Amino acid sequence: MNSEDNVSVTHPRTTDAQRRFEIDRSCREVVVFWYVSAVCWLLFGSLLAMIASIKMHTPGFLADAAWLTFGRVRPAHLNAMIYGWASMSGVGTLLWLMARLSKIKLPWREMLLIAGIYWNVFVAIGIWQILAGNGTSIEWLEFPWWISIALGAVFAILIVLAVKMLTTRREKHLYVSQWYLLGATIWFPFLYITATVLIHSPAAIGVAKGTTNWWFAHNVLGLWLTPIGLASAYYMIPKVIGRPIYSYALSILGFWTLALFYNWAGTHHLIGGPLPAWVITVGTVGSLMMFVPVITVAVNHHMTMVSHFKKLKFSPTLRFTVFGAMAYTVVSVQGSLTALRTVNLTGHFTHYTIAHAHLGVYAFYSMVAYGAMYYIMPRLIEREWYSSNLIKVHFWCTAVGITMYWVGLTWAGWFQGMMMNNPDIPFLDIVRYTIPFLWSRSIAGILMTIGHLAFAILVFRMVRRDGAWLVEPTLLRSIKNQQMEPAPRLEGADL
Amino acid sequence: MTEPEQSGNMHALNPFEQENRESTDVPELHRAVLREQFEPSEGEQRAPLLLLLGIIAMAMFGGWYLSAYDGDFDPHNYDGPDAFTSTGRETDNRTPKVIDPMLLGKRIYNNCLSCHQPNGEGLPGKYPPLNQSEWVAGDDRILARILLSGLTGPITVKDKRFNGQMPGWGQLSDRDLAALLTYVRASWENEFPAVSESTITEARSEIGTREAWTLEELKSLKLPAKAKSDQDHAEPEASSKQDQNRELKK
Repeated sequence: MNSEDNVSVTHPRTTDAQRRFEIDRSCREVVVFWYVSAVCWLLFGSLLAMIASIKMHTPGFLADAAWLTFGRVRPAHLNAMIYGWASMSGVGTLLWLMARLSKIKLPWREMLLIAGIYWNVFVAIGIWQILAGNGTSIEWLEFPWWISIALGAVFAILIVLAVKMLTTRREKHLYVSQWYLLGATIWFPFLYITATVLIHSPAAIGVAKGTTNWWFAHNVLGLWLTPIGLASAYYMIPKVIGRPIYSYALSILGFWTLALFYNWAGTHHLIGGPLPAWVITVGTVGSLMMFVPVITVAVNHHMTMVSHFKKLKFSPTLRFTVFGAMAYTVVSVQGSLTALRTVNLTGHFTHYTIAHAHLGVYAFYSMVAYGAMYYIMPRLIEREWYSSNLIKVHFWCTAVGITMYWVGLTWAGWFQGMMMNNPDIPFLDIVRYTIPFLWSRSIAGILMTIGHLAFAILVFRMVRRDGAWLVEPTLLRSIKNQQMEPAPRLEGADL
Repeated sequence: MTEPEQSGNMHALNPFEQENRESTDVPELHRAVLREQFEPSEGEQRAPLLLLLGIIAMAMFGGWYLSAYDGDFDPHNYDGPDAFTSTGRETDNRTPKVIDPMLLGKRIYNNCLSCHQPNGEGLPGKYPPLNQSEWVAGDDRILARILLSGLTGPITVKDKRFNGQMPGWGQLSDRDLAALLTYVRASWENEFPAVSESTITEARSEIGTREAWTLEELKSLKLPAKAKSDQDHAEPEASSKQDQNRELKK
């Protein structure tokens, strides 16, 4: 301790670094465990996705195995991705960001490790139950109800933990990321437990179940994954480029309007359904008003990035995060427009909706999560990433893959919707029209899976500590040979 | 350009100079965190005026949309123009709602159109047509029996052979099934008389719950001749069918 104190006298920056280093150390086992679990689920979810996607254009594929029929593989894919990949990577990022921004060590590490194991076990049982045919057929809640309750219990820990970390924090100022993280930890358990009880209890009947279902399903993205993704983007962008977020006022505006409007948006999934018209209209208005937080956040991020776009060439973290942040704007604008009755008339019940969902969970959330993991893992494990080329493979495969996926299915879905609204066109002709686009989806899926494999190799090499000792960050291309201005600043560019 | 926040520490170095890679007294372990920029903070820029104006415009549009499509906040006012009950907005809400069998039948037909198709032509070789089908034109009591319990095995419709299975729809109410048959018999090029609810009720009570019919069973059915009052009853319904047809096309 003495020697470090001495250092701080001559070099104040080292005490800062020392403190950050200790915080990272306290997060190491827990966050690495949640991250590695997430990556395993990502690979397993990709496998299920490929099976489901191939079945769409080649129905005979694996058709003899009851466990692998489309009606089971697709919900298994969805739940593996949401509760396995997205939630587990999200919790990892959440814990690390909370510790970093509160400037305290991560408390309750043993409990969080046990919670991670517990979460893995119950998600695995849930997926097994779905594949065995015991899914509930309620979208986004396909796990049997007792698994939902068991998973919900973990969130009780997260709420208490988040509040505890915020009350014992050493940094007085609350950074915008912390608001989002606190929001996510409070909103999601409320959603999850309310939806489970309202849908599975015998008191719930008919239309009320459908309404609750879509209120919940839409908010899994809106009030759980989105806040974590935005918290991560709000942290990583200014951190990597070394510049404050553009405007505190815009941060406040974006957060509170998101909190105010997103919760209402879910019922636009039920346009044309047997709900009272006003319920759907309120959902549509909520979706439209989502323009406000989205544009606000987009302006805030963009103005922060302005004149720093060159750094996208180097930093994997920045490149993934900015890709995700841009996709957030695109997916939200598309979502607001889709909520309009006139647009919904064509887009609903087609591949268009599936493209939209993947744009949200993959192009936005997952890309931001990759970015965060590229930044956080070297600090936890104290090794650099193993290979710059594998990072490039990961980025280009996933970026090209999701773009191809989205463009193909959006196109197919829109024309599919227009044709389905025309009673003179036989249904089979419409099915035939979409087949080439379903192939393009499978090819895009293969690309993304290659990206995931590259990422998994990187992560497992990282955990085995195969990377270089912390000397230079693994960047997408070396800074040294670039004539960049101002050179000294880029010398220390973050990973 | 905005400078990076100094974390409240006035002694912190300018970030342009903060890298000190030559420092030897810093443990190697700290390199990753040492080369980091300071923890992010927020600038003090004001929100752009254009953005605020846009938000006000959005709020106004949202308010207009809400008032335009609120359905009077009436819990019985369902979404969409095809609602099968009259809204009764102009009249007293407590009056019983009038049900148009053609609109109700069209809605129920959503269950059928994946096989029999929206145009009632079925799929050649797979699902028999309903349009101009001799079965649809025939005795409505047989039609009711097929609909209630389903149909299995070979059958000939419009001189084409089909061999498939149709599930029974006995779980739907008599009113819904009667409306469905009325719709099928009056849609496309069909102009056959409407089916009354009592026909379905009778058929249901006579057959009880049973397996799907086969062609032989249907042919060997011995149904009593239709009561005269029934046929008289069918006439006015058939004439009103034209009106309903026109209404539907709107």
